[in-house]
Amino acid sequence: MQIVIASGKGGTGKTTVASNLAFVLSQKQSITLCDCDVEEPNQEIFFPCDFKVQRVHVEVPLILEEQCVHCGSCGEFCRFGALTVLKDRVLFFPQLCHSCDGCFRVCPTDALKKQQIDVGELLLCNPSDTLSLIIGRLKEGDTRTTAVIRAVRDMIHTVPLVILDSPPGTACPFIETVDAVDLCVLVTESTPFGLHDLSVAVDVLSLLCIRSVVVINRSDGNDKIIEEYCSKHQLPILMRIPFDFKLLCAQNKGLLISQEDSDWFERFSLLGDQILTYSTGAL
Amino acid sequence: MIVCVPSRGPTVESQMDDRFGRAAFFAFFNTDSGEVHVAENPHAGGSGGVGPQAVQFLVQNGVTTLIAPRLGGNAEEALVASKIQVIMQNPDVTVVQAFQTWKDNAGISA
Repeated sequence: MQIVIASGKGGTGKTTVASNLAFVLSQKQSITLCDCDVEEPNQEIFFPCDFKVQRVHVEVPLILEEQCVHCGSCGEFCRFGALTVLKDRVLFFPQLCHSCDGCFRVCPTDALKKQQIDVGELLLCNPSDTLSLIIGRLKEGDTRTTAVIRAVRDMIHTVPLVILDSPPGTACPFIETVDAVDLCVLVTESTPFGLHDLSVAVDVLSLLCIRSVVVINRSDGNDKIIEEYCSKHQLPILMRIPFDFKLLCAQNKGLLISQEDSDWFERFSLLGDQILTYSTGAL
Repeated sequence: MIVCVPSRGPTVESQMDDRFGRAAFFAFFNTDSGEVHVAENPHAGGSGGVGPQAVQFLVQNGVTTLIAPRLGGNAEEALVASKIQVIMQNPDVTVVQAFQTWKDNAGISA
């Protein structure tokens, strides 16, 4: 079971919800928490650990000029413009390569050799017997975000229960995180910005045929703007998390509010149970 | 030699395009045979890497000289490596005017 905590709009509280949910659920069962926001991962703030580091690589072509006959096949094939075949040599633009592997397949003379490029790392640890943490971190300045997210997801194929903290937005990093998961929990806020980005995320999830549910964070009791939208689109609102300074203070100190406060533990426990029920398709 | 001019339209009377990688068309002038033709840029709508792809298209068409508007970084890198001669031209002229200007000044390097 793979459950993504996403939002559309950044800063709505994905990490707050994901980290507390993981902690609370881990009290009853084994669970893995993944940080897929690889451009700016932050789950390690809430689970300080002795992390094991695993590098993440992509493969790019190295041109063996002695074997190249400058037929132009690789340049024709590459839709990203990463290979330019000139009369006497081949130019490679690493920043354009998407590591699709295609050029290796079309080269008739084995003139392209696979070369590994380091693009980031996975940080692995077990904060407890029942909680495992997998954090993806992209190398600063690199653009191959989806490669690192894929590396995170490759670690969880056989894990029974996983929560994935998604990147913000609705572009490639979000899609790489959310593709083929069982449920997407959209954390939103009752503002026009929150609504707008929520609706974009809902549209994308609908195209991907992924079930989504909504959690309203920082609610002040007046959530009509979101409620009307959710009602119209038949999206269940699982919970309204109230705006609470105690929570803000704790989380901003790097603490988990559900670990500090029994009322909040109960709240997240209830949310966790509801999410699990929805993700099995029972509702 | 074959001279290339990026074009906004399908004829040499069209205005010169102010882009290279995403130019709508490329005009090719063969100074030996006098032959002229305008081809659609196959990569004009690409999301990225269009500069190097355009250079590759030029190389495939045997281009020796490019009359260019501004150039992006990847396009410039590919052009330097290709040894295609690049002449900068303000694109506020028609394609055939750009070619004529170059022809009149041929032998003076820019």
